[in-house]
Amino acid sequence: MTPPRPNPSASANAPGGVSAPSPPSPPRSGIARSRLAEQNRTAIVTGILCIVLIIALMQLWLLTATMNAFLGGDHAVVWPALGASIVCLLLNLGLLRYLYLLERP
Amino acid sequence: MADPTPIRVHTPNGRPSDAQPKWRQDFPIDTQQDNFVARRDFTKFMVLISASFVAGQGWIALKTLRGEGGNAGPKAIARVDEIAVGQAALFFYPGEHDSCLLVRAGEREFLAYSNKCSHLSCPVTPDVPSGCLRCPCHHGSFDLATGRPLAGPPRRPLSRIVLEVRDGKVYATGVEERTA
Repeated sequence: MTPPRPNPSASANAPGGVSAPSPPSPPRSGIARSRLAEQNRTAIVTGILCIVLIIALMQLWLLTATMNAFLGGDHAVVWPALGASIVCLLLNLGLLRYLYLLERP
Repeated sequence: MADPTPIRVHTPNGRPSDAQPKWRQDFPIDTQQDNFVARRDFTKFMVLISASFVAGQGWIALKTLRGEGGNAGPKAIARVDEIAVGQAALFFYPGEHDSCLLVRAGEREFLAYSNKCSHLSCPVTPDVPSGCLRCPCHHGSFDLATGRPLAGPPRRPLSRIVLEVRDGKVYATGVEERTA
């Protein structure tokens, strides 16, 4: 395990430019570290969830608009809408992959 | 920045959370961990929903490829003298299950629309004196002259059947679907 490094900014701000070495910070316990990691993970997964929700809502709107156009006899929008929906799914799958990477120890 | 205050996470066997069996990690006791698992699972479910939306789009695209509906060529649906002015008749076009309404609005004016309401496919009934077609299910109504929605939940007009009158007979020659 590496020893804690002295903080360079602390010594630069000290009066006279010379200061006593700052006392080493107390070692963080493993539980506290994992707690911090858990908080970060929850924040990240919340962000991913928000993006996935927005993309899924866009897909829902796209599906209803396409269905309305199709039932009205307008078939020109069907294939571009399918392409856009696939792109949205790929974005979601990318975020899901990131979620799995996040869970990996 | 100060270190966060260490908070001890109690687990049933005293080992850290990461060392717990998989089933216990999926049903955590700790609130923070539970928030993570709930949001993670909801995200996975939303990605599944996203895939189902793509499946729906694919189904519509397949229906386009198969070319369902469309025109089935001219078909004699009634004789002119069979229907009095202000009366209506039921016929099937283009398929044998596609019910349509033929309305004689004037001496020389015939109108025909799909009989399915554009809201939820209930059969519409003609109300020739008031110039509209009414859907009894959700009280939607359509303009008899154009087939466009006048009131109620329908947003799309009724499909119009293209007619042709020759040799004393009324022929259906095509279906005109419209979005507005």
